[in-house]
Amino acid sequence: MIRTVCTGCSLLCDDVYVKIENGKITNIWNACLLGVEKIKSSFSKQRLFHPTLNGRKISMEEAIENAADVLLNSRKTLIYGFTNSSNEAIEKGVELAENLRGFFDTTSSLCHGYSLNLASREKLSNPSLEEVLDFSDHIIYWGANPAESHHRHASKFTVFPRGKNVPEGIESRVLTSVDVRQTKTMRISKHKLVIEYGRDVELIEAIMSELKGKSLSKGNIAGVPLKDFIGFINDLKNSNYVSIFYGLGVIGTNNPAQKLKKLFQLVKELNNQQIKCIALPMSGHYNMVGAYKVTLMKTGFPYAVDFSNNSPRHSENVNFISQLLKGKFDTMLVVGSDPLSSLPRKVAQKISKLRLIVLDHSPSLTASKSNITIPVAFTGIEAGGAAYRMDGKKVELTKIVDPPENIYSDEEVLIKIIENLK
Amino acid sequence: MKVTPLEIYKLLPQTNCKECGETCMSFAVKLTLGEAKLEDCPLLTKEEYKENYEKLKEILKPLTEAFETGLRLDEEKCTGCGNCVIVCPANVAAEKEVARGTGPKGDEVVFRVENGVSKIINLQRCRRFPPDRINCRVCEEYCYTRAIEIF
Ligand code: SF4
Ligand code: SF4
Ligand code: SF4
Ligand code: SF4
Repeated sequence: MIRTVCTGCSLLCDDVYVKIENGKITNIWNACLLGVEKIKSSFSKQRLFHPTLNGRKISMEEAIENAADVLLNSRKTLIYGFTNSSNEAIEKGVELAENLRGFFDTTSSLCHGYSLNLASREKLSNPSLEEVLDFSDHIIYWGANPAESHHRHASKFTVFPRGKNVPEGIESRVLTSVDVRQTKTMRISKHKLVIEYGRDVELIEAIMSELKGKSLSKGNIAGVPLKDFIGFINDLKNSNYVSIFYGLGVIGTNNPAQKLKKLFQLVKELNNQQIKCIALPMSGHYNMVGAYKVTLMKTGFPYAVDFSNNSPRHSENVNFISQLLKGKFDTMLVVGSDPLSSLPRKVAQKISKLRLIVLDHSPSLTASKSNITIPVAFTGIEAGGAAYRMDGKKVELTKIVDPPENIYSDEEVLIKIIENLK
Repeated sequence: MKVTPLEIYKLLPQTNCKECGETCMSFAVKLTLGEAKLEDCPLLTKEEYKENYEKLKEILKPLTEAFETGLRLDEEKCTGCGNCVIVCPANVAAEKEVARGTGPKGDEVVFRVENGVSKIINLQRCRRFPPDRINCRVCEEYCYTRAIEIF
C-alpha cells in the first residue's frame, strides 16, 4: 500500500493508503466516502479524455494553440477558478493574467477567501489543526455540518483524538453545534443550538452580554430555548480553549460581512476574558486556502486582481461579477470550476455569451458549453504539487498513477499556453 | 465483572488428564476466552463434580450472554467518517497513533475504513467480548449516521 494525500476536501488527509495493481487503484484505506469518490472519478470512463473545439475532437497541440490564439485576440480576459488546483497552477494562472493584462479571480472570492481576508484584517490568529487537537476543549461548529461536508474533521483533528490537554478525547471536550436545523453533527453534540434563520447576530450578542455579566432572561434567544442557551453558556465560561469552525451557514447567507464581524468580536471578547478562542472557516474545495494565499503572495491582493495597467490593482467593490455584468469581458478561461451551474442565473447567462475556454478533468455544464475544452490530470492523484490545508498548513500532494495518455496537469497546460503566447 | 482463569481453575477437577485436549489450567483460560465449553471436560458432567459444574455454569453465564450480543455495521449508511475507528478503545490499544486521530495502517484493529466505509475486521477484539466484557458502546453512540447497532 502507498501512502497518499486525499484531495476530496480541504482537510487534505495524509493518512490515506492506496493499493495499486496494474496501474489501477484497487483498494483505499482511511479515506472517507467523499475522498474515495474523488479518487474513483479519476478512473471513471466519464472523465474528459479529448480536447474539443466547439464540440469537435482536436489534438492537444491544436487545443493549446487555439486557446493561446483566442486569448491573444481577446479584448479583456477573465481568468477564474483555481480552488481545485495546486499552488503551482494558481501561480501560472496569475502569470497568464499578467501576460494578457486580464482580470484574475478565484472561486474563493465568493466563499471563504472572503472570510480569510476579513479575519486577517481583524488580526485574528490562525492556529494549526494540530494545536486544536492538543489543546482545544470546546469545539463549536457554527453554520457548519462536518458530518456531511468534511467527514473526518471531528475524528482526525477536533473532537475524538486524545491531545496533550484533552487526554480523554471526546470525554475531555465539549462539542456544540449551531445551525438553523437539526444536523447530523448535532447527533453527537452536547449543545445543539437550533436558531431561526438569519438570527446568528442576535445569538452572538446574547452570548457576549452573558460573558460581560449581563444576563438576558428572555424566553428564548434567536429561537434557542433559554435552558439550552444557559447550559451552553455555563460550559463556555468553563472552557480553556474554544475553537469555532464556521461554514456556509454563516457566509453563504445574507450579509455575511455583518455575521463574520460579529463572530470575530465574540472571538476577541472570549480572549479578553482569558478564554483562548480561535475561529477558522470550513473551506470546501481542497485548495480554497491556496487560491487565496497564492494570489495574495503573487499580487499583494487576495482575489479580484485587475492587470489592465502595468501593476496589479484591486478594489473592495470590484469583483469579477460586477465587471462581468458591466460587459467588461469578452473571453473567460475557467480552471477546475463550474460557474455555469454554481452561480446565479443572471451571472451564468452573461458567462455563456463569452468565448469560453475550460480546463477540467471531469465533465461539467461549463465544460459542455465552452468553445475550447482541455482535459487535465487529477492533481494529487495523477500529478503532484502543493496545496494549503484549511488551516493554512502547506501539504505536498502526491502523484500515485500516470494520467491517461496525452493528458497534462492544469499547471502544465497553463505553461504551454503561456509559451504559445509568444 | 471479569472472570479470571484462576477462579475457574479452582473449580475444575485439576487432574490434568488432558481428556479435553489441554491441561486444566489452559482449559480454564480457554473457558474465559469463550473458546471451550464446560462439557468438553468429561469429568465435570459426572455426579461428583455436579456442584462445581453448576457453579462454573453460573460464573460463565454472563460470558455466554456477551457472545449472544453483537455489533452490526450498516455499510449503506456509513460515510467513512472514522468516528468509530478513532473512538474505539480497542483500536487505540491495537495502534497507538489511532489515539491521535490517524487512520490505522495495520490489521489488528476492530474497525478500519476501506473504500469509504467502515469494516469490522476483528470483532473479537471489541471490548464487549471476552476477556474484557466491558459494556462499551461508544462507537454506536458517536456514529453520525447511526450505522452501528449493538444488540
Ligand atoms: S475528510 Fe476530506 S481530505 Fe479527508 S478523506 Fe474525506 S474527503 Fe479526503
Ligand atoms: S478434561 Fe477436565 S480434568 Fe481432564 S485435563 Fe481437561 S480440564 Fe482437567
Ligand atoms: S463497543 Fe467499544 S470496544 Fe467494541 S467496537 Fe465499539 S467502541 Fe470498540
Ligand atoms: S462512525 Fe458510523 S458513519 Fe462513521 S465510519 Fe463508523 S460506522 Fe461509518
